Amino acid sequence: MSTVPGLATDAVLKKSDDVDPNAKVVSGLDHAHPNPSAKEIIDGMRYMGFQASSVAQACDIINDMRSWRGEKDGVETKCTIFLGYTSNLISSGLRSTLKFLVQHNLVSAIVTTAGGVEEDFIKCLGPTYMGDFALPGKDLREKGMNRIGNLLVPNDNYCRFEEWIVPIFDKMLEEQESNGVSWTPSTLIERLGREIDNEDSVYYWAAKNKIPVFCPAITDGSLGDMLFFHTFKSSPLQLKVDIVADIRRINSMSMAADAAGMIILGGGVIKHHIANACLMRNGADFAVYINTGQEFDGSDAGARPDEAVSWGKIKADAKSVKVYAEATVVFPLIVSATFGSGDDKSIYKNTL
Amino acid sequence: MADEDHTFESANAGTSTTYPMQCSALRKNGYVVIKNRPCKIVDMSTSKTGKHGHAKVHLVAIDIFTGKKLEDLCPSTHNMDVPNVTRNEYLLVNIDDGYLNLMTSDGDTKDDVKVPEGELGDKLQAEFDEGKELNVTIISAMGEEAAISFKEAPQS
Repeated sequence: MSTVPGLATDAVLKKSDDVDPNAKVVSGLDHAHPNPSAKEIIDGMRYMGFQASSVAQACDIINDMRSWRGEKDGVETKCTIFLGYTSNLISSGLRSTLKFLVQHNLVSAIVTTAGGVEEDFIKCLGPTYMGDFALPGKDLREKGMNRIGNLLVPNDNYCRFEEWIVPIFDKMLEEQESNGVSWTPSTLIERLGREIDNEDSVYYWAAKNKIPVFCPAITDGSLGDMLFFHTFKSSPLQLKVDIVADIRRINSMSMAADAAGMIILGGGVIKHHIANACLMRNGADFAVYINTGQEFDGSDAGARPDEAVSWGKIKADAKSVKVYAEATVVFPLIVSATFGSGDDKSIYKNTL
Repeated sequence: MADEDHTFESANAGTSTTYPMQCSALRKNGYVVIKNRPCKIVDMSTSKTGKHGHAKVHLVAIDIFTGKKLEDLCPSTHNMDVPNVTRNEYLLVNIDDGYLNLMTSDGDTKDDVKVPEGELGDKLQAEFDEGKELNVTIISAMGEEAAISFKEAPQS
């Protein structure tokens, strides 16, 4: 029998260097233990690899945000947590999870887009239904159904939204004209949150807990349609919404924060607006991104935290992770294993 | 909350100078009241019910007295006011201190309509000064009147 050529053995059977003594061994969830808790599932995912490990890392970073304590003028301070999410997530059932965070004062500020605001109120006026990604647009248009992924919203819900919001805009315009009230996206959303008076609403709780909701793109949705129509109704007067006052408000929050954490679900305006606010304090201390965006097109939506480090939006020594996942799959689990785990850090008062 | 404070801008004096019509029934070249002014509709378009709420009718109209362009956007199911617009022809008897002295075919006089401003007024004055017998058309709506055209009276 001939021997294996030396060239091949050298190539295939190259001797390993010694393994780093701190290296973790890949492991998984022990299913012998039934009904694991969210925390136990996350522990089982920590060294599973791929996105499972990123999910566990996201939980660890969120717990770091929650347990962080500083001190300013002899007073204990906490980490300011900015939560960002896109409109589709309010349309989805993830709204319940987001509401939980706001209801229990677990975040300090929210950034979302117009749909992320109005769909919360619209759900108080009429339900969103399960549909299918494959339903043809032409048929849906004829039936007066609007598709969001595999969800459906009837036109009728938007008619109810219009009936609800127009009289509120009338009152806001009157307050602007007679009391000199200057509205901003965040004060407008706070007002709507008080008007809706419904405990299912994220913004009902945001108003109640004085958690500011920022929405620099407030006109890009049905809210914008309503504001547009209202200009005809109110002419020559016009409701004005000041975005400069809000950029000052969010940036001031960031600068005043002793530590800042970002939890960002999805991309676009909501992702960059939080990162940009954190630039004003020389970067966030903690960052968790959850999105399916890719970075190859150079858009911020898919950029990893390291790109934000280059801009000073995340500190060089910050703890950060990007979870490549669709938020509805992983965020309920992440919240269950962190904010919702019932540990002593759960109830948390925002500092500003 | 939702069911109070509905203010419909078209609510006006409530006299017979206007009558209500469902917005979707309005037509181009018809009349409509916008911002309390009687207008002639020059363009209208409709957007179907959708994300923006109820179906809307977008109206572009011209104030029949001032010629000013006005716009409105109204849910198609809402009522809008339509002005009662009347036209009458009078014989021009005299022009006195900027007012027209007019006479109906029955011999009644009417002296409360101003000489129209601009080119129309200038032409009217010039032809009247030439001694021509002129018939003037007066349009009236919502308590306002104006001369909108004139022509030489047919010789009898």
